[in-house]
Amino acid sequence: MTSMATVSSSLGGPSRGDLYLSNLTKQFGRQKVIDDVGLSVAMGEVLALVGPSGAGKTTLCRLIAGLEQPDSGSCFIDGEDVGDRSPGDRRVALMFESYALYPHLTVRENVRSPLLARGREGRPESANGRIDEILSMLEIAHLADRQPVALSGGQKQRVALARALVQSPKVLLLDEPISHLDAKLRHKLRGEIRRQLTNRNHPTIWSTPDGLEGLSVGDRVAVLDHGRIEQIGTPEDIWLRPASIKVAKLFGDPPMNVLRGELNAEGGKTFFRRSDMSIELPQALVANAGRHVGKTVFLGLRPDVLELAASGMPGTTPAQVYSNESFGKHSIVTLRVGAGELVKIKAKHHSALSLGEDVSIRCGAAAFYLFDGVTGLGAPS
Amino acid sequence: MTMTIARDAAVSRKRTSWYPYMLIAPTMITLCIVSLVPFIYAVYLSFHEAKYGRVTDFIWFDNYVKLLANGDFWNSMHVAGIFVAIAVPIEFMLGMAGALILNKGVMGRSILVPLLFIPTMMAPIVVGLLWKIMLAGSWGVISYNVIERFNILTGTSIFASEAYALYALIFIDIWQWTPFMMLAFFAGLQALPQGPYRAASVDGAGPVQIFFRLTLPLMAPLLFVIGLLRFIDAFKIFDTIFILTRGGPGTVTESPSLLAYKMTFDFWNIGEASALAVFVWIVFFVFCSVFYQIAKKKLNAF
Repeated sequence: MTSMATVSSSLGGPSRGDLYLSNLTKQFGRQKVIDDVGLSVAMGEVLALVGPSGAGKTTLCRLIAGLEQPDSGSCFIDGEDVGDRSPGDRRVALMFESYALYPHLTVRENVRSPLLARGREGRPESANGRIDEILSMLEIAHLADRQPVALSGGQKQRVALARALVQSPKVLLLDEPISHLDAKLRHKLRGEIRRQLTNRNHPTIWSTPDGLEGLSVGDRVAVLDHGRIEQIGTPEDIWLRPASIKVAKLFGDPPMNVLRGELNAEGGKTFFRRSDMSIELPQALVANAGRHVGKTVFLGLRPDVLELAASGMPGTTPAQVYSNESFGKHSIVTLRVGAGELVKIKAKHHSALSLGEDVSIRCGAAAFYLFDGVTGLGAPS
Repeated sequence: MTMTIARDAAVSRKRTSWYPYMLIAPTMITLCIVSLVPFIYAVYLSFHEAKYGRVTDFIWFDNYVKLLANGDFWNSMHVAGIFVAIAVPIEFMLGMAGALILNKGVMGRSILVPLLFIPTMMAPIVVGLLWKIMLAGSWGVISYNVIERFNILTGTSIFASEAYALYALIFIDIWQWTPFMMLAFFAGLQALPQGPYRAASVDGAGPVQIFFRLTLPLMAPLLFVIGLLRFIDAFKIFDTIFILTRGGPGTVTESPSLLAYKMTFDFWNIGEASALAVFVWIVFFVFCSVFYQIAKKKLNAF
């Protein structure tokens, strides 16, 4: 249970300025949507909440905002238990994944609405400068007088984002804030928004299904799957020491290849072996993996450490070409190995390969991930 | 080959020119026969001398001149004005309040909703008779137990009272139409998007703010349509008044529809009655057009 250990070690207790969740559980019917979630986000910190769709990201945001009541567990905002407070009294700014814009108001009025609703942030006119600033950062300043019905999906998403960013809440929750933007704008805004969020005097949760986005924006990353926190850690932790195969496969494009085999020790060296493959593993990786020797394990290989080689070369694994995608700057080749497992290779150059052609795979660098053959959890290293 | 293509294009062009008209023709023909012909005949009558079943000379605007000089006509407009100005806003507000309560999810809503249809489903004649009996002088169940007991009015029916007859009719109209408004607004509330409400609750908006800044603007197009329909309908009221007071006592409750009826079938002054009908139609037409244009600008709807 390495993941649980990671979770509890990061929990101190509720304190001023931060967000603290403990043992939060929520069930819809028979399905546990949020299962014993505990985490804390410090003031000024951005926690990236990464998980596939249906993992419970939105539900977790709604629980914190008070739109849903947890079945058990508690939520502390700014050091206070907010369990019995209505959503309006929690001072949470929530950007809805579904935008939830006011259809009868213009973009500017939509962005100003939370300030009006609170009525505590001075005269709303004084916020005009701030609204303009955020609108132009998100490149929707020219749409300020339009109504949502005249906007595209990406534009609506940016209005919803502006509405969240304009507030000075106690917790900021961004539920998939840039998922519907085109790739170019997404990359640009990711950095801009991250800059905005740095050194704010409240904790922020940024939920996203995109692992790389999570790694890029989060001070820490929490991986959610089936309502459970699989791992919480710095982006480096998550990338280099994924707690499980599930976590490992969420990060990286294309995702990590995971092969099933056996760990063998021979003459002081440790090998990952299967009928079509034998790889010597570096000492650092297997130093603490003694209990896995002689047992089934999973070996994780990122697509960019694998190389294509001519068929039949010694020390390689035979494979057949399954698909070949050229991206110009690199190409992704999917190969079929052994009993039909698919392995993706990210190659630097595009090579003309015909489907079904026999080739070989070679490991280019000694960068591997080792997982338990039964639980799929990361082996300690 | 080219010829066929050219001919096909010609055929389809020809086809597009008359095809849509053919599709709406059945409706248009029915509409013309059922509503346009009688209306044009009413306009025709209003420009002619028509009394006691004989249509004679073309007399230009004489019927209209006589109508506008007729005190009974202005009295009827006044009666309808008061009727609409009191009944419709009250029905509107009660309906809205009821719809908000229904929308909160009261107990037994599925039983309550069909019951609410009863007053609206009843024929106005039946409604009239029912209230006539309940408010009948000294023996009606309501007049005996409420009106007489509290000495509001004694010895006579409320419908015979010059002071109260119109208000009694307004009360009955409210009784009959509030449930309808309630259900219409309730349906509208149920159809509103949930997202903005969640956003408002997270943003800390209060119930008053939510109602005036969110619910009302979102409901505006529906409120406009229902309000306009009810306004026109209330202005035209005939059947309940006909059963309960026949416009009396005197002309205190004589609505334009009732006046037109009396002009036609009591005094056989068909020309002037037609002028009244056409005049009221023009007033409505202008009013609705103006109202519609304003609504279009203000609500960004339609």
